Amino acid sequence: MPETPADRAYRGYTTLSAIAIPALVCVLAVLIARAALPALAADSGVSVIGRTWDVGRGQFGLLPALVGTLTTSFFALCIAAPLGLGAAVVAAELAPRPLRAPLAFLLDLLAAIPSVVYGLWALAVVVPLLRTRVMPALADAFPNAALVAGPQYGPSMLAAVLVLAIMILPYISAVAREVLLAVPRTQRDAALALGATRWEMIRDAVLPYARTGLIGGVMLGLGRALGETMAVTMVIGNRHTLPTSLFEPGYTLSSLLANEFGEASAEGHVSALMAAACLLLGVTLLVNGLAQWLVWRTQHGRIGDHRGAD
Amino acid sequence: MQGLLWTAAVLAVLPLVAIVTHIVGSGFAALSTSLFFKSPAPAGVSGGGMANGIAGTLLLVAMASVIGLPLGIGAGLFLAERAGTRLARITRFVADVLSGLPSIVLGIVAWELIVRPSGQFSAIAGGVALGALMLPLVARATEEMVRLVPNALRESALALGYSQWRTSLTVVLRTALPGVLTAVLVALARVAGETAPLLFTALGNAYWSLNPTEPIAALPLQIFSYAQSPYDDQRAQAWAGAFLLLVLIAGLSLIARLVVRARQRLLRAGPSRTDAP
Amino acid sequence: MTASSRFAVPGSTLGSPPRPAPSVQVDELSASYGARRALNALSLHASGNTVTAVIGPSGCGKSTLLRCINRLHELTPGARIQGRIVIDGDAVSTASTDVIALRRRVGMVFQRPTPFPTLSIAENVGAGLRAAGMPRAETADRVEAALRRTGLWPEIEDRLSGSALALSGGQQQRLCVARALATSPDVLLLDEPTASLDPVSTQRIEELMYELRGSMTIILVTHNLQQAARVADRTAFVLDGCVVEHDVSRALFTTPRDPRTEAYVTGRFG
Repeated sequence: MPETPADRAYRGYTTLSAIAIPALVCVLAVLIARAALPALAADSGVSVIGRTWDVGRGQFGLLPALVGTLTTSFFALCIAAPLGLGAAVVAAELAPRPLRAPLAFLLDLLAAIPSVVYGLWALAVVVPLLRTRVMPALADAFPNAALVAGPQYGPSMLAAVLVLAIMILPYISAVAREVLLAVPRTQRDAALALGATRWEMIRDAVLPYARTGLIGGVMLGLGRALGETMAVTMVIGNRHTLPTSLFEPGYTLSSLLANEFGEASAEGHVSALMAAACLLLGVTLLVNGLAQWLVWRTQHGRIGDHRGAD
Repeated sequence: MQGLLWTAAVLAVLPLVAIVTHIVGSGFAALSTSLFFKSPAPAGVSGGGMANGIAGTLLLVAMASVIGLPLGIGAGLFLAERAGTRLARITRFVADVLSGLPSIVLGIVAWELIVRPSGQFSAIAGGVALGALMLPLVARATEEMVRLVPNALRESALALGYSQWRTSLTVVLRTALPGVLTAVLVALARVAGETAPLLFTALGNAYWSLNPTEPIAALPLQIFSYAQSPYDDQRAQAWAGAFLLLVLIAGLSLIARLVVRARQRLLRAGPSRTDAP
Repeated sequence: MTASSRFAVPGSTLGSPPRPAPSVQVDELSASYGARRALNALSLHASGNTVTAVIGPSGCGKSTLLRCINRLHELTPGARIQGRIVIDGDAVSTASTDVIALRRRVGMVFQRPTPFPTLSIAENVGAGLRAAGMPRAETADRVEAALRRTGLWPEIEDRLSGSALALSGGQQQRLCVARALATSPDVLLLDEPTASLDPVSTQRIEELMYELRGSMTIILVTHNLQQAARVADRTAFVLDGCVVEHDVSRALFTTPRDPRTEAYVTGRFG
């Protein structure tokens, strides 16, 4: 059928808009990769396994920031995953019906608070609390544990871990809740028809069915944690050393960018920071891609097929 | 086990209570008229306000909308109307990945694209970074809302002799509008509080400026720098700023929820209703 | 009770001047969604100014047939179509057909009422006219005429600018018929128009169909065999995308020639 000019214009507009998103990501990848390219040169001073960051001497070791990113995210996930999943199960399944929506709303609200506000709060409340109460208590309780040894300043890896855990928790529970709600009615009915109690139904029918999607939700939370910038920058202490204890200050890739990018003028410094951005992008892309795929699989029922086979 | 789950739920909501009470307590106390009408006083001098930051945030969000809304809604329409095409599948996946990327990366891109070539930090660069941040959010939400519109409505319009574009814009998008509006408000709330993409684009500005080619102040940036300030006055203003930001975000999401409710009423009364005359 | 005695409304104000309407000829029409074939070289002739009912079990291709006639079918992703459809001597199934113009002369009403939720009652009825480029100010007369023909006018006269969603289901469906009539189509496609309605509303729509064939050709897809017997001049029984039997309604329902038709109309399957 002959297309009118107006129809063609509309189709062109929506198609171009749809192309804009992948195009933006391509531009993003190319720009950052190109800017980071000089860092690959042997004499650039940029090293993923280097431990020294000294702009003046042209040494750009990324290891402390990389390790800081990975460890703070890992520990934050250890705290947030069980809490977030638990909250999701309560909000989607356990709570009395009238309570479910408000609980979900509160968790959504938690996700809507800007990072910088978390940082402000953590700086004013969490950090002093750690210094005066939590750190001494932990050090007393585990006198031989290297993780909780060292000076008790306040701004530290531990502070970053706590604030990250609070921040990613609502993301985990939001995705987990959606995944749980997507579990088909037939799964639940089948369990209930066998005489399962409500809790047995959740444990034996809903959770196993949703397992892959729940893991995806946790991975999404991990992706958030890896890229989280402002709040971490405000409480982690920003020190370029390889931390040996959660009490020590540290650095993350994103807070490195936040602190130094605006002031970087030397070419070597900029390309070193671009390399850090590349590293950060690579890690988050990997985690997010995997997470999206896992969530997508649950929502499209592939999991049911696999479970049927085993 | 159920007890443990309930404990988890309570622990999960606890920080919210703590943060909100603290911000309302400290922030409300620091509110004053000069906060809204004055630009910052020099560090250490008491008084002054965040008028420049409030105006800057509004301008940045407006610039982000100019970029993010038309493209995001267009992409959302494409995703919903040509759902099965290869481009739709790619765009959908990439949009999800993009919205999971660290927002600071978008700041770096805007820096490389605009700040570096032009040789100066600018409000435009900040607006572009925030616009890029909005794009995938608006696109995916628009898609979801447009998909809620019954296909029968689209076909009725076509069967009446509506052209494709007219059907899409005046019937489908128009019907989905309350939902799309909600999504837009949520996206606005999200970018209004973003700090990281502004650090080396909009940069911040201690003075009043609405010049798009110059550095501009923004509430989140002011909160960030005041939070670490040694001066009590500035720290108090940081709390007041956080309070304003929270009110802005809560207001936007409250409007969004009202719109959603109105929409649900609409759909419930919609085409599927059948009863005796 | 015969159809004519039931629908002869004395002094009816619904009437409109009789007008010759075109025939619809479907030749060897095949249609598929991806790998699934919905129509299999189906042929059917609907004479001008008649009501032709199309009956058959779910999934036999009845709705697809209608959606091919006004070219909605091809908008479904993966849809394919072969064969020829001729209205009033014009082939309308070709690549060069002006689909928009075709849809303006071929009205369609769907199973569920589909008023545009964002438009008022009057705007709903005038939607087709506006799409055809008629200025809003000039639509009023046509809107009123269409509403009068469906008998809806007295019920909604005083709230033309109110929301269409405030109407009952039966009123909404009559509104959709009025919307289709406003552009004065000469072919009307009805896809189970009363499937979701109560008996009283159903009767109204049936009366309307009976009355409308004075000025248009109607093709009615229905699940309701009694309805086909009541309002249709001729009825076609479709099975697996083919016409099994096509005859005068009375003959098809009382003395079907094909055993499959007999099995269906006597309720043994479907």
